Amino acid sequence: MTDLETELREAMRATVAGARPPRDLVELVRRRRRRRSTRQVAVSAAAAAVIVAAVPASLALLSVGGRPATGARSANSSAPASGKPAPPTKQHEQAPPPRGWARHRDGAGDYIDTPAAWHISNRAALAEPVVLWVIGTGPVPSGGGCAPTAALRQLPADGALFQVIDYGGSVTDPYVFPPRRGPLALGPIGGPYECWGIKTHLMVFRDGGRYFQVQTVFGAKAPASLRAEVTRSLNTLHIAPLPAGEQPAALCQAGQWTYCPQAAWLNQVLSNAHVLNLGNQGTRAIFGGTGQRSFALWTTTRRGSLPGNRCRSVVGTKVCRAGNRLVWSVHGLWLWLQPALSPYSTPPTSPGLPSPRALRRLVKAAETLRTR
Amino acid sequence: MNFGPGRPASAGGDAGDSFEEFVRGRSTHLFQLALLLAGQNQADAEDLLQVALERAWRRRAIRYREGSPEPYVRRILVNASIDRWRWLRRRGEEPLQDCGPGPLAADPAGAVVRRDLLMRSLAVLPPRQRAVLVLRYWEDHSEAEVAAMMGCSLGTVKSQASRGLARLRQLTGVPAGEWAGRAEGGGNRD
Repeated sequence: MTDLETELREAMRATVAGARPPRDLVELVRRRRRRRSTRQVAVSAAAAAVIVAAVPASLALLSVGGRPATGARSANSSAPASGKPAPPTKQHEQAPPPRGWARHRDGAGDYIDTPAAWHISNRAALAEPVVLWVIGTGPVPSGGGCAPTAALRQLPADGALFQVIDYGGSVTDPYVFPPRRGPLALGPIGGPYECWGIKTHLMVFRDGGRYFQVQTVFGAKAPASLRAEVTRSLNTLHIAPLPAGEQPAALCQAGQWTYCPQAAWLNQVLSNAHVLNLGNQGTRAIFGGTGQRSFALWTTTRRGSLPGNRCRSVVGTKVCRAGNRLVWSVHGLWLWLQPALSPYSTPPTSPGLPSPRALRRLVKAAETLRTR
Repeated sequence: MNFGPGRPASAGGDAGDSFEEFVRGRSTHLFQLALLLAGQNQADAEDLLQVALERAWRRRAIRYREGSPEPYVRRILVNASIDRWRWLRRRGEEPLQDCGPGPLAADPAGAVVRRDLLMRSLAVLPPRQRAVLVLRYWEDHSEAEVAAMMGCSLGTVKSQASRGLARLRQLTGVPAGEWAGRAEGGGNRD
């Protein structure tokens, strides 16, 4: 063993020595389990209703290029019967797929339509999060580490391949996922992304209280019409919603601020102000960083007069000091900022208030961007 | 104690209890593993561990009826840490060189500084390389065991470990063969 290997081993041991999991770990896992089980009960009930109402449609999805449609996730009928399902967000459940298309279900109430000749797999290498489907115009063999690598290798020059990932109802950065309001698009090309190792279209969205990521690649000679067809297929995506009590609005109401619309707004404010977004360390605040300084930001509803003292005008907005915090009023909210340790070790930052220049950018960006 | 509602009968009468026992007995070690895989991010590590345990609990009846759930949990941890990295990657990386002091100092804090730099360097490695190094050097598994655990070939483990160590040397600014001398505080950045 080399000296570096020895030192690495010792450094790792010293770093994690004494690190302990949360004391209520069993309870936390149990809660996570309950959330998933509750959702499965809700969607299995919805799926049963669909089967009764739409037998012809269910027959249509028995074949995908001559083989049974896949459905890896089965509903857990032994889960508790608590949690009323929220109203479906889309109303096209009863509509059959277009002629020449097939419907693919995941066994949990979700489905997507594709041209019948396309290939589909849900035998993904990833254990978590759940890969709902890998869909390609060409063969979709299983194989790969954390991406559909084998399918990617066989991507026809004029073909397309896309993957739908389901993060469930609990994600670290819910405010990054825009709600699905209008038609879905392929998303911008970014990366190269880890696992895939190449640049892909990437699109994230929230639907039915669940969080999704879609990555799409096209062969070098893929025609524009194929892009339109993939987009059309994506827009048939039907999501079984979480129970109302698990929806972001309920989580927001319960005090998980990062699930509130204000968190999404503040996330965009940080971006517009060119403040580094350092994520979060829980559900109460978003962390920002400028230079070597890191701070936490969050909002509360505006009540009464502006708290704090030692106020001054920053680009026309009154910003006050309340202890070690700054607070100002914007769009009916108090926007709070407090020096805080970044959740990440890189880049290294120290808790501190932003520089006057960065604060001006923040105040201006918050004032300019309307809340949703 | 019942671990969760609605235990399937096929899991066996005491499956939930035994899983809880497993969690209680191994959670500290698994959390420390998650912490290393997550680049020492406490929140990510907690989340990773919960994801892995929840998933393992859900699959306990079919995955490890006869044995310990630990290999399965460990594999989920590795997979989930790799995927999380992909997610974080979209935020953009920060070059380590701009991030702090160099590796060496001739003062008593030198060892701490070196260790910190090494761990920060480990945190910015690609997740597969990091996972291989963690499993290989922290958990003391053989290369063959790591390969089996990660579902890849022995050659892949060897190459990932080699590249990971080379990258660590590069990031810490210490060429191969010079680590020992520097580590003893005999070096100076200048």
